[in-house]
Amino acid sequence: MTVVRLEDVSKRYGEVEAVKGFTCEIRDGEFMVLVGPSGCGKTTLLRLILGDLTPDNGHIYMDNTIIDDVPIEERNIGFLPQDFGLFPHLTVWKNISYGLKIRGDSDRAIHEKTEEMLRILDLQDLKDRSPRQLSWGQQQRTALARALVIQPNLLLLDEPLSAVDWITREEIAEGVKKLQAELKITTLYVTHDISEALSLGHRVIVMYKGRLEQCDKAEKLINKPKTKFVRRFIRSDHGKTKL
Amino acid sequence: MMILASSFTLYMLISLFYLFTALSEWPLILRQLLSQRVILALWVSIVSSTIVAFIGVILGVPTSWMLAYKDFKGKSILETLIVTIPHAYPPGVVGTAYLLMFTTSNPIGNLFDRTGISIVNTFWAIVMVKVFISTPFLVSLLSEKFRSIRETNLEVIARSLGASDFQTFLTVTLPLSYKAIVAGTGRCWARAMGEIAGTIVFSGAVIPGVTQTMPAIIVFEAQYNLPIALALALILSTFSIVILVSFRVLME
Repeated sequence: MTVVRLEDVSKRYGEVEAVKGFTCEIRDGEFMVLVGPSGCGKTTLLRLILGDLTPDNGHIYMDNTIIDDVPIEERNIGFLPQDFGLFPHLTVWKNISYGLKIRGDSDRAIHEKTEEMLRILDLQDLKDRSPRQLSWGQQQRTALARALVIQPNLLLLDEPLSAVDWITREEIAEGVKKLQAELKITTLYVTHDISEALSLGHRVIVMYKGRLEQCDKAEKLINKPKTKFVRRFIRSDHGKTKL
Repeated sequence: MMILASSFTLYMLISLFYLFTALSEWPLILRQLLSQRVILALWVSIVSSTIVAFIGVILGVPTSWMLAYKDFKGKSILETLIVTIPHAYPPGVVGTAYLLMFTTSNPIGNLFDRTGISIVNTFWAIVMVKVFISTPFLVSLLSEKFRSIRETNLEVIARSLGASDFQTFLTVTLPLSYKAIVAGTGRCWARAMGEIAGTIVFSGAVIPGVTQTMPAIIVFEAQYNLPIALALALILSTFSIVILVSFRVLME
């Protein structure tokens, strides 16, 4: 049970204000999508929640506790970056079991949980491979397994599909969503692709120039855009998305 | 360009070795190799350079880490002071600067003089010069490596999975930078082996078994007896290459 709430969060880099007075809530078990054009501050926002950056202003709450100063390693967040970030010096099995080992789980627990994840994501045959020997999709599944095996409170996905072909992309997106629905982990999915956002999210946050433009269900964004930018952004989808 | 450069290096090595096989100078090399003067000089060179490599690692690894990971004010000035300047400084000038630093009119020299520790003309003079000149070779290589690791998401991911800073260093940073540390240590050692000018100025380089290093003898001999200098050069380069290669193989 995890609720993530941002309250008036701001972050600046020198002169540039990357995130401006951002307030939103990601509900328990929700699949929230954060969408906006590149350079709008999405990545900064993600890094604030992850704990890689600290807000200059405002607070981030996880289940009503302020986590602004909680170090990354104590937040229990599963993180899947754009390039998946698999440890190149470890095998698939060791990549997935890394978090369990670092947390000092017993050998038996590590073995059981890792094998279970391998099974869920269909990676059993690849467990002794090095990340270099994996296809893009296999790398993604490994990274996802590694993030999920620690039973995170929150799953952060940073444009995980941006470098995938369109055809496999829809498959993977569906797979991710299905898995999330099964595991009921609160998830924030970051993308610049409005079509992807509209088809994936329970709700969608549209971000532009560091600000929250609108946070709503997809059909509301389409039918009742609150700002000019949202209308324009939705129109760039060209009605591709079927709801 | 790379082919050109590597063939030039090879050509240099081959001509050095060819000279001796052609002139059948092997007895000369052997006689030199077995002479006490050469054995002592090799010993001084190897021991001092190995100590320098150890100090280089102890000083260089944390320094490189800080340069790559910590963002603080005046970092670029610091980097210029501890990497760029020592890198670009003529070694002879380094020796002279040390010499000036250890005169009694200088506060540091005065302090050492009062405690009764003398550095000038000792083995430690060689070590000090070499540390100053060689460590930047390790630091420049390793800080670049650390920077490239920092640019990936790997350490952030390790931490998100529960690893503390130190655990992250041990399980991610170190395994990924290990080869660079080994290579940097090798470079540091090799640079120390080759150091001449600075050590001659600061240590005198005349006491056998204490301050007289191999490169120093080669320089002296080159002025009076070229064949001997060449024989010594061959001995030194053979030893250096063998030690460096076996170090790399052993560490990997």
